[in-house]
Formats: sequence, C-alpha cells, structure tokens
Amino acid sequence: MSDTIAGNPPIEYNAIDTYSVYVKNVSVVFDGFKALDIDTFGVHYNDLRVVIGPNGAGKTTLCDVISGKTRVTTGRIFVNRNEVTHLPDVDIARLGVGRKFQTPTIFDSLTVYENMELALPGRRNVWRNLWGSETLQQRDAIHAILQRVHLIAQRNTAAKYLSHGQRQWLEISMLIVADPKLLLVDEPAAGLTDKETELTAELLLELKGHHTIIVIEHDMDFVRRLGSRVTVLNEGQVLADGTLDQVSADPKVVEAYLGR
Amino acid sequence: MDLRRLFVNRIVWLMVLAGAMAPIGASAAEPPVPGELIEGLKSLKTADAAKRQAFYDLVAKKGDARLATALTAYRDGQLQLKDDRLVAYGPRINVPGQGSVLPLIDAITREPVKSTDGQPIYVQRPDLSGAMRAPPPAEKRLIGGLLSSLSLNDPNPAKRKDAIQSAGDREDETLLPILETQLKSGSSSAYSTVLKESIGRIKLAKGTREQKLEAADLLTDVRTNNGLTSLQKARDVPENKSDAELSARLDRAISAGESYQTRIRWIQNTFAGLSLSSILILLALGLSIIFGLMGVINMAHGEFMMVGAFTTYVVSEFWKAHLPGLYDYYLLSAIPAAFLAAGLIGFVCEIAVIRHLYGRPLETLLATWGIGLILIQTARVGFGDTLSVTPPKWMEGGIEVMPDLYFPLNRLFIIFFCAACIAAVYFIVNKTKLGLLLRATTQNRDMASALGVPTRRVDALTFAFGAGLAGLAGVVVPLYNKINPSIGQEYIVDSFMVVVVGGVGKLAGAIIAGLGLGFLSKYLEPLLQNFKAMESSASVIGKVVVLGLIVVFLQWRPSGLFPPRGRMADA
Amino acid sequence: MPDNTQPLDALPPNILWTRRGVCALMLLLFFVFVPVLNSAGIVPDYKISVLGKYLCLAIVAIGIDLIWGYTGILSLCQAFFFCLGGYAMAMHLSLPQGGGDVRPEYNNIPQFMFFNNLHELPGFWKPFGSFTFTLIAGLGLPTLAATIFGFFILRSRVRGVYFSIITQAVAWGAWLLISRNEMLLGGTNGLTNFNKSFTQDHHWVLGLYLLTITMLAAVYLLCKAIARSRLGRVLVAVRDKETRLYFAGYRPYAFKVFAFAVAAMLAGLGGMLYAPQVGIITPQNMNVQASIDMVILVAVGGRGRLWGAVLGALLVNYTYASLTSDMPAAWPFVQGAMFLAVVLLFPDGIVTLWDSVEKQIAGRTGALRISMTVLPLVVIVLFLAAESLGLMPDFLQRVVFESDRIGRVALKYFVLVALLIVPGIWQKFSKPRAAVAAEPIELPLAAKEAQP
Repeated sequence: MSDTIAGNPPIEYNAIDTYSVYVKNVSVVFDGFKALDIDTFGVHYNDLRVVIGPNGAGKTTLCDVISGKTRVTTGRIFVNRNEVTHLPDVDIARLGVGRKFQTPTIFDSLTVYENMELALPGRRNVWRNLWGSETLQQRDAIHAILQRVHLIAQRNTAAKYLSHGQRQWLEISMLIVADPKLLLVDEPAAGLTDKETELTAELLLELKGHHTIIVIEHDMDFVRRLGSRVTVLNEGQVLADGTLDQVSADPKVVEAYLGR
Repeated sequence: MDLRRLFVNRIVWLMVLAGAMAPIGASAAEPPVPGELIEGLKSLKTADAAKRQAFYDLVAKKGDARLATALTAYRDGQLQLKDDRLVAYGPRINVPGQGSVLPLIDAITREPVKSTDGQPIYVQRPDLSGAMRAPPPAEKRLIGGLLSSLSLNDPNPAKRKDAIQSAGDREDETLLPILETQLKSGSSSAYSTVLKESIGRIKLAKGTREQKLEAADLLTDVRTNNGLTSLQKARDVPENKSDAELSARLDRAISAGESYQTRIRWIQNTFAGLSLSSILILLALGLSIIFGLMGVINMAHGEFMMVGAFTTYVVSEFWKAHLPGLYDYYLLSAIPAAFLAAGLIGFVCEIAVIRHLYGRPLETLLATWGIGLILIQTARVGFGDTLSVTPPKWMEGGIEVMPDLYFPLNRLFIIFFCAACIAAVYFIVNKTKLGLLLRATTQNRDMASALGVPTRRVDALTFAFGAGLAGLAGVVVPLYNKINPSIGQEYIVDSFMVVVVGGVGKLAGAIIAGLGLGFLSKYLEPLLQNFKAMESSASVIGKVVVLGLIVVFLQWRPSGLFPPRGRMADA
Repeated sequence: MPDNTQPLDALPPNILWTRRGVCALMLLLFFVFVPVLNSAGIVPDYKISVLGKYLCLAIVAIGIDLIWGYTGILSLCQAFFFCLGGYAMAMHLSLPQGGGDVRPEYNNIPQFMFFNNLHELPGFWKPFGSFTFTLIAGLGLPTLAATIFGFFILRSRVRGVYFSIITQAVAWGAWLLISRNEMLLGGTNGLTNFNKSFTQDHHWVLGLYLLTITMLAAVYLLCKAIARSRLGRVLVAVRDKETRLYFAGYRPYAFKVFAFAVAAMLAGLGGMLYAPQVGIITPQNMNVQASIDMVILVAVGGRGRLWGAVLGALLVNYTYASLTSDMPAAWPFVQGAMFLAVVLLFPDGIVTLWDSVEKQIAGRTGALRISMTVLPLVVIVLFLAAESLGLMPDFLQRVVFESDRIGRVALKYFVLVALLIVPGIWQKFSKPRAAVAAEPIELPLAAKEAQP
C-alpha cells in the first residue's frame, strides 16, 4: 500500500473507504487569514498519527474542523465513511469522535469517578439520565482505567483538586472509557513530568490498534516514543509526511522550524 | 503613559463639542415696530384726510399687529399723545384700595405708564380731553377692516401663521381679499402654503362653484391635513356631490392629500424612531463597551442615566436661582456635570465592587442590580419622586420642514447631541491611545497586561466612561419627559436588547441594532394601530413583537450581528 | 465541604446524625409546632397566612436553585412563571365555581369585567371554572412556556448573561401585556375578590398552610432526587464546562431546557398556592424587579444546596416584612446591600456556615468553637421563628430610635446584627487550637461559574 499522500490522491470513494479520517481540500479562513489549507490528509483505520508543526501551523484548527468546533470555509471531511463537514459538534461526537483539548477540560465540581461516569458511552438524553445507574461492568471498567492512571485513590475527590498531570490523565481516561472510534488528542504531554509523559505515551500505544488516533504534540521525545507516522503542518499546509526520522531530515521541515 | 491625562483630554474635547452645539437655534428678539408707523400715528392728530388715507395704506401694506391697541383707541377717539408718547386707557382692572380703575398704558408696548414717582397711573373715569379726535365714520369702518387684517401681518412668524390658519378654521370670507392680496404679493412666500390652505378652505365652504373648483386645485397643491379635512367635508355636501366635475376634482385633491399625509407620517415615524434610537444607542454604547471589555452586564446602567438626569436637574435649578438671565445656556454646564457625576459614581462602583467580581458575570449582574437599587432609593430620599426640568427657551417649538411636517427642536437637539456623542465615542475608541489600550485589553487581556497595559486602570476608566455616557443620555431625557428615580428602568431593557442584537463590544453593532430597534418599534406601532383589537395597546404589543423578533433573530445569529470570530470565539 | 452529589453513606456518622437531627427538628417545627400553636390560639391566623405565602416563595426558590445553583443558568423571568400559575388559580377563584364574589347585578361575572363593559365571560376564562383544568393549566402553562422558550433560546446556544437579559426582556414584555385591560385579566389591579375564608377562616388558613408545607417537602424531595441522579451530575457538568459536553456527545440545551421547565413548573406551583393565601395577584408580582427578588432568595440562602434556598426565602422575606413595617425607606438600601454583600462577601450564602459547622464536628473541634460557628445560624432560625410566629419578646421590640425620615429602629435589629457579627469577629481573631485537617481549601462555588 502506498503511503504517500502528497502525490495525486486516489479517487474519492476509494479514499473514504480506505481512511478512517479523510480531509479533502479543506481550508479555514479567519478574517482573511488562512488558518488551514490542506489538500489531502488521511489516517488509516486504527492507526496512530502524530501531527507536529511550529506554533500557529494549524494543528489545533485541524482538530477543530474534524470535531466540528470550527467550520471549514471550503472542502469536505469524512470520518468512518460519514461526511461530517456540516454536522454539528454533538452529532460528530455521537459518531464516535472523542476529543482531548489542549488545556485539560474536565468538570471541576464533579468527582473523578463522576467525570468518568459521564463519559461512559450511551445514555445521552435527558430521560435516560434521570433513571438508573451504571452497570457493574461499567463500574469495573472505570476502576480499571483509574487504577492504570493512578487516580483510584482520588476517585471521590472533586476534579478541581487534581494536579495538572492528573487532570491530563483524567481527560485521557474519559476518552478511553467513552470508547470512541476516533480520538483527537491535543498535546497530551504538555506540562507533564518525564515520568508522567512516559505513562501517557504507554496509554496511547495501548490504544493504537483498537482506535484511530490523531495526536498533536510539540515534545519530540514524546513523539519519538510513540514511534508512529508523523505529519508536519506549517502555515496551515501539509509540509511533510513520514517517519519522524524522515521528516526531521527534510530540509523544508528544518527551515520551517528554525526559520529562514 | 499617563492614562488619566489622555482620558481627560478626550473628555474635554467631547464637552467642547457638545457645548458648542448648545446655543444653536437661539431665536432673535422681535424686531421693533417700524418708526414710520409710530410717526404716522402721532401725525394723525393734525393730519388731513389725504394724509390719513396715506397712513391707512401704509398700515395695510406694512401692517403690524402691535398697532392694534393704538388703532382701536384712535378709532374710538381715545388715543392720546402725552410727552410725545402714544398712550391710551387699558381695560378696567381691580386695584386694592382703589377699586375698579382704568390703567393708563402705552398704546404700542401695552406697558403701564408710570408717573414721575414711579407709580402706575390709574383713573376712575377716562379723561379724554387731550385725546385725538375720532375719524369720520367711513374711516372708522376702514380701520375696522384694517384691524382684522392686522393679525394677518403679525411680525412674529408663528403668530402670523396662526392668524392665517385660524382664518381658514373660521372660514371667514371677509378676510379673503387680504389673504389673496398677500398670496399674490409674493412677499410672503414663507406663508404661501398656509395662505393657500386658508383661501382654499374659505372658498370651498363659502364660495361659488368656480371658487370651489379653484379651491380644490389650491388644496391639491398644498395637501395639508386641514385642507384634507375641509375637502372631505365638502365632498359629503349634497350640492357638491351632484356636480360631477367638482366631485371628481375634490376626489383627486383628497387622494393627493391622503397619499401625501401617509408619506408625512412615515417621515415622522422615521424621525421619532431616530430620536428614540439615538438615546438607546447612547445607552447601549456604554453597556456594550463595558460588556466587551469585562464581560459584565451593568444592570445599574439605567441608574447612571438617572444620575445624569438628576444632575441636570440640580444644575438647572442652580442656574435658575443664580443665573436666571443665562438660563438658556444651562446645558453648557449640565453636560459636563452629568458626565462627571455618573462617571465618578461608575468609577467608585468599579473600584469598590465590580473589580472583585471578574470572571463571575452572573454575580456581577446581581451586584450591579443592588447598586441600582441603592442609587434609586438615594435619589428618592434626596429628591422625592417626580421632577421636571424647564428646557431652554430656544428649544421650544419646531421646524416645519414641509407642510404639516414638524420636527420638534428638542428632538432634533437630542438626535444631534447623541450623534455627536456617538461620533466622539467612535473617535475615542478607534483613533486615540486610550482607545487602543481599551481595544487591546478587550481582545486579549493577558497579552495586553504582559505588554504593560495597566488593564485594571483601563477597566476602571472604561467603566467610568460607560457610566458617563449613560449620564449624558440622562441630560437629554428631561428635555422631553418628566424624570423620576426609576426612570432608568424604562430604557434599560431596550438598551440590553440593542447590545444583544448588536453583538458584544462592537460599536457598529450597537449603532445598527439601536437604529434597527428604534425604527422597528416606531414603524410597528402605527401598523398595529390599524388592527381594531390592538388599537389602544399598539405600543405595548409593538414592544412584545419586537422582542419576539429578537428571539427569532437569535436563532439565526446567536451572538448578534457582529459575532466574534476565530480564536476569540470560544474564549 | 461534603459535595452535594456525594452519596450520603460516605459521611462520618456524627455528621449524619447531626443532619438527621436538624432535619427532624425542622419537620417537627413546621408540621407539629406551628399547627398546634395556631390551633391553641397562640399564633394568630394571619401570621400563618404570611408564613404560607413565604413558603410558596420557597418552592419557587428551590426551582431557581435547580437552574441557577446546579445548572448555572440565571433566569430572570421566574416571576412570570410564578404568575402564570398564580393567575390560573386566581381565575378559578374569581369564578363562582371557585367561590369568587360574583353577583347578579354584575351579570354574574367578575366585577372588573363588568366595569370593562363585558356582559358575559370571555371564552378563555370558561375552562378555568373546572378545578382540574386549573391545576393542569397552572402547572402546565409555565412548563410549556419554559419548554418552548427555552428550546428556542437555549438551542441557539445563547448562554450566560445573554440568557439572563433575554429572560428579563421576556418577563418585561409579559408584564407589559398583562397590565393591559384588554387582556381581560384585571389590568394593573390584578385579580382579587376571592372567597374571604381563604385568608380569614381558621380551617382554611391552616389547611392551606399544611398543603403548602407538604408541597414544599415534596418539591424538596423531588429536586433532591433529580440532583442525586446522573442527570443532576450532567446539570453540574453544564455549569462547569458546557462546551466540553458537546464533545462528549451530550446536548446541553436539552438538559438546560429540562431544568428550566422543572423550575418553571415549581414557580407555577408556588404561584397557585400563593394566590389564595394572599387573596390577590397583580402584575406587580411579575415585573422585572419581582423576578430578581426571587433570585436573591437563593443567593442569600446559598446556591447549589436546596435547603439553602428555603432558608434564604424565609430569611429575606421576613427581613423584608419586618423592615418595611418599621423603616419603609430603609428596605431598598438593605436589599441593595444584600445583593452586594452576598456577592462580594458570602458567595455561597448561609449554607457555608453550616458547612463549617459540619467540618468542625467532623474534625471534633472544641465545643466553644463549634457553638460560636453555630450561633449565627441559631440566631437566624430564632429570628425567623420569632418573626413568623409573632413571638418576638417585648423588650426586643422596644424602639430605640425613631424619626420621621428613617422610621422606628427597634432593639431587635441591633441584637440581630450584633449576634451575627460578633461570632465572625471572634472566629477571625482566635487561633484554632489544633491545626485544621489538611483539607484542600474550598473555592467558592460561585467562582466556578467563571466563563472566560
């Protein structure tokens, strides 16, 4: 299978079937400023893709358009054979697109356990929430994940008392328990200690193979640890694509990072 | 950077601008009675018939209503020439201690004549020994005719117009020749509309068929409301109905008048909408700037307006007491005073309360409501309930732009004043350093702060500035309305809606939304009055309909006309 | 602070028992003492009517707590929903079927209609002759109105202060409309001329009071159940980070509309019980001010805690009643100060006092310290009891200072203020003996509302 996407892309239907996420001719313009301008970007099913790039390269905007937070100016986006270009964010989330934000966003006055509980799949409407409680299996699943990220002792603590690293993990845990088909993970290692970074990388690698994952990251050590294919964005455009070693040898990438 | 100086400079600028507008339209005093008329009157004592006739002609030509007293006295043989001054007896009055007496008055000015010791002169019986001889009966009749036409020549334009109009109201055919002469002479082109109207009305009511046809044409020409009424009346007269040609002409005149009147009403609604909008915009600008900068909805904004209104009251009372002669200019000090008073209270509120509530918009909303309650009650305890401010003299009356289309001067002043304030705000926000700091802080507080912008001080000054703008709105409200401590509440919901529709912190949004809401409600009102069931509640229903439209509008544009975009959007 | 969503069984037993004790005491007070004292003639009927009226407002306050305290949306049109219920009941009570004062000389229709040149009952009044219909309308109309309005406004993602001022505009528009005579709802005079025995007959008064307090208890339990369910946690999540919910696949507006509708229904219920006990309902009950007055009840009591809303409703209203009779001009100042104080100094309201009491009990702090913390609460409860039952001792009612401008200042106000402030000062200046348990410092709930 040819992994070079920079060349002429295959016919659309083929691509939509091949890729879990397929972004075609997408541009986003804010007040005349082109934040994103991507010809083609695709991630295979259950693959892990890392997106890197200097500040303002459009990495977060890419996440935003896939999850429906920002609307594209032109172009189309497909997730798991569904077109999501004009879907509201809620519906995209219900298609199985989970998202972790750059700064951890969790529900501060709820406890760790309750945060996880709300992330459980299913039960999204008002009436289903009014009655009943989670099943034993679900409870066990939550406990298992919390155990893994060392949050089990804090399960009844309000989330606002967690440290930054714990908040990052809680949000990742919420993603995991929700069992989405596609995970958009925006800077999971930001502000973490080396040890914490290591665990985060481990978690993501465990997920690889069961979920399609897009990770946005600055930390090159972390990226190296993930050992996955890397896409480099610069000024909204795909600059290079390949293994980390390949892209870091690319003079265009070096120039983009170091400036002229 | 010295923020304070910067700020004060702009404010002074604004004040000067506003103040400069104040004396516009101060009306000139009445011109004196022409000397040749007075000399002519004096000469009547010795004049022969020919000279008298020359004087009568002069009066007919240059006639002046202020001659009425003297001419009446002359006709009745009561005009006296004392110390080269024309005097006569005024109507009988009751003076304590002297009973019913006749005062001696100046025949031209109608002021009482004082004796050497400064006391008015009263007599029990008229002493006519020194009076001029009364003219012969034929001339008496002539003078009678002159008298009734004199008011049609009043030098005061408003009075003259009234006189001409009332001639039409009374359908007084005796005045027809004078009216027609005036119309033909062309010297009174300013009055041609009202002259035509009155001539037409008189002819339509009292004239021959020919005159009626002529009248229909005249009234088609002027299309005034009074003319329209007369035309409609004439149409229903059986005698006119049977006349095919006449009734066709009448119908044409009526339809011309009606379509004109409809157009006039639209213009008037636009004008009313503009004056409502301008106050709303002035209020909403302050709200919007504060909302954009601090995310705070200031529930006390209406009360800052009230502070401005009460400051205006205090200032006007001060001028009344200490500078009564210059009362017309009280706005010169009321404008800065209201701005500073409201701004100062706003400044104190920001420092004492609002500063401590950043990031808690809903609580700020409650806190500012509390401030509003306290301000209202303070005003109530201090000043009582309903007050009114005497507007300056020059603001009375209005300009008749077209027949039947009046623009009241106070409303015009409000529109121009608000427009000037809005322009000043636009200038301050977009072209000055303070505005730059304000915009920087609005867009990215942290970054601005990191670059050395004293964001806290910008906040306080902006809040004070917004409050001051509300205070300025408070200056104009007493010009057309009574004021009371809770007057702010009447405007506040509307101005909130302006902010909601306009979008957060966008001046252009506030202006467009303010105009839109003002016009919409003023256009809806007459529209709703067409429905019988809603006739008496049209203004209330209009407001509710506007509210419903806003809710619908928000479906389409939840963040207003000018939503923030890009990274700011989800901040 | 024990979080309101935490399961009860996680609490230490001494706190659990304290809570149960206080709860039982309150039930005893409202369900036994008050009726007994009233039947024994010690507490006059009108005092019971007034208490019943304030309990109606407490029902409304619980609803406001649900949308504001839990869901974080501030509605400024609750008084409108309150009046929908109130007017529905008042319409029934104005008709002969509801015991209204209609007379043959006025064509057997409510008198104000007769004076509005009406000769027969307008069509939309007719169904209100039926009590069942009235009940359904009184609860259903506000719920329906809130659902429709909430759906349109909240679906377009109007949030925060935007939502508040739009609801305020709605309240204002409704008030303008209902004040018109053409609405055939009595214009600015409102609806009155109900059966006099609702406010004067002992059995009716006591019966209505018992109905109200029972309803209050039921509403409390209902809202408690909602708050405890997973739905309650979604509501809190809406308050904390609404945008996050979208990306978790929830539609926050549906939950907000639900909370809004429940709150509106409770407001309608409060209004229905209010009308007979007061004997009149006018547009003044639903102007802009009235809605905000209801919000302050919750703010004073404490947001995010249902019993706080009840306590706040009683405290604010009895302060209002007491002050307006003694110093009418002072009330707006005190009310304004309340808004400021509750926002600046006690963002969590009175319930924080109880929280510190619980914390000290759990930490087994000294008796003196606990009692100093409890003192303000006890003073508040005693003040409420004395005011509501007319049992204020005479020496406290003595007028210390009197003037035309201010009114009569009784000793009780000084005592009240002193007893509330002194323990606070004492707490501030006395060092705790043992280090306080290393619990994380609680951020005020209100600070969480922050939306950058």
